[in-house]
Amino acid sequence: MRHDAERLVRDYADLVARVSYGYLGRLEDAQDICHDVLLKALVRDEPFASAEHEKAWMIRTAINTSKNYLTRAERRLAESHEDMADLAPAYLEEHDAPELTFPEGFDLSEAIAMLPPAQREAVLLRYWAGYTVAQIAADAGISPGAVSMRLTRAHATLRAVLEGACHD
Amino acid sequence: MTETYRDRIDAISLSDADKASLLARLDASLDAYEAPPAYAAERVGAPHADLSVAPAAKKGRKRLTSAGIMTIVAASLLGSTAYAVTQGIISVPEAVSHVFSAGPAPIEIANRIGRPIGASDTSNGVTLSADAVMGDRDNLAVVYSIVREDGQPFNWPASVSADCDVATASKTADDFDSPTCPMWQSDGDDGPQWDSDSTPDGIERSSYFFDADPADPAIQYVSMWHFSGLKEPLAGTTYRFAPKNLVSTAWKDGGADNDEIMLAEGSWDLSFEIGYEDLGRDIDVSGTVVDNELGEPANLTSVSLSPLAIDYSFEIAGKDAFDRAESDSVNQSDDYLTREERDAMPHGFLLEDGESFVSSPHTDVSLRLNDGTNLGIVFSGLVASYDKERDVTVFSANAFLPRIVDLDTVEKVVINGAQIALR
Repeated sequence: MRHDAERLVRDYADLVARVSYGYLGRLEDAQDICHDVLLKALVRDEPFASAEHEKAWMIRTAINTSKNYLTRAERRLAESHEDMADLAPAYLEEHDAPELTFPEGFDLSEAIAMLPPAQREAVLLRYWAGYTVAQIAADAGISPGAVSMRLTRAHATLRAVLEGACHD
Repeated sequence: MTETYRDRIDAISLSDADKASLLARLDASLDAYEAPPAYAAERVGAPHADLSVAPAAKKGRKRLTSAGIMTIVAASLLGSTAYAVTQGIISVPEAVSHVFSAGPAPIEIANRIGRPIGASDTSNGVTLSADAVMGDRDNLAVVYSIVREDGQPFNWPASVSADCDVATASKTADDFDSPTCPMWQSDGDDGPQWDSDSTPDGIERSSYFFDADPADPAIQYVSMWHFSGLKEPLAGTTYRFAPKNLVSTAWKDGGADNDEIMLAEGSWDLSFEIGYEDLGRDIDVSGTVVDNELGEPANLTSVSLSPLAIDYSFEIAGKDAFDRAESDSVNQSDDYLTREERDAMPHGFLLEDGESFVSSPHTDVSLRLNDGTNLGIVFSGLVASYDKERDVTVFSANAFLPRIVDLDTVEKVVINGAQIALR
């Protein structure tokens, strides 16, 4: 059992910490979230079908666990107008390939903190985990249009923050 | 010098000391865990400690939840099975009240609301029925019931009921935080069936589930539609709804795994002809000037009102109003704002098709009723567009009324102070 725990810590502690940081924009809770996620994996009833399945489960569970660490006030920020997503399907293609780049010294955590949780999740999965829009949609149980809208809005916010940072 | 988002995230790592500490905590937690874990077949038979540690406590809660569900099921089986079938099929006024969460509709209106005949389908012991359809020229609402024929309630985990968007008597659709659960795994065909040439220019849709009585074997589902630029009248059009599998993506038992929970597995296929009477009225607004949301006079061009919804539009000469709304909207995506902050903003966010979706804190629309009371109407926003040919900026808005309204009881529509009599 300790062997399993050692392997999970070795293979996934950093990954879970990254997801936690990407989602929450802070590292203070990373250790607790790592503990909760890896423990859930250790006591999981069903074996994983593959290494890919295990990794995907870790990412998803890390996001959900991070979500549980949000305060009630933060959760309210998650309110979004998903119903508007269908009005902007064209954004599917715009976000198909690019990487997000930042000037050196730019405070990413500050920018992330400005994004509502749903957008943080979409940005994290798209630009760090490398998921496609369709994969994010399937993972989150929402439409691709809704994912695109989240990415679009995240872009707008990050762009505004970046422009502000560059002008400072 | 720039770095990518991926670089920045990948730079995050726990120190060796942090990992050692983490491993020690995991060991301690595992020692306290009662169940044989999947990762450690060799641990079967290992001593199980107390349940005071969080994960073990969750397991305990899981068992309690199961026991609670069993109790509810046993209690429901004491009733007759026939109860289940008839209980879920609600009366039309009851269905209407579910849409508005505001009590029964006036009888004279309820009698003019369509009740689809034969719009019912059963799959795997669960019957989906369209109980009522109502609307006006541009708006439509359909109320469905979903009924378990075995008489048992939909016993989804407590975490779903607590966290997800199932309306109850004390929790209306306005209180929803999470729009993704429960949900149909596939909506299939949903809505009026038009060919490509007849599809309206714009379609907006919202829907929600309503559990009028969590102890009964039925839940209700409400689907509301607004259409703009209709090519054909709604009445007489065939409506089809063919969903598959009612699921939830909520967390299981309060944990972190959000694998889908199957609430009702099956495929249903309903079709019916939209047959309600259009109860809407176009109101004469010629020559009416209102203060618009940007603080300048505008020509009111249309107001239509039905017991279900209101639509109105106004125009301002030139493109300035559009440009102003657009420029004020660009960096004000409202996602990260609270509702209060959003309401305090003059404008909203920019749609990608070039239209500005303007939030409406300054839109003050209400119905003045014959008894002297006012019925306030909440708009989610105004859509602004620029008509190049006529060189005017056009704003339009629509909203469902907070409750069904008999138009004979309405004296005036009041829009930003301008009073428009119905007659």
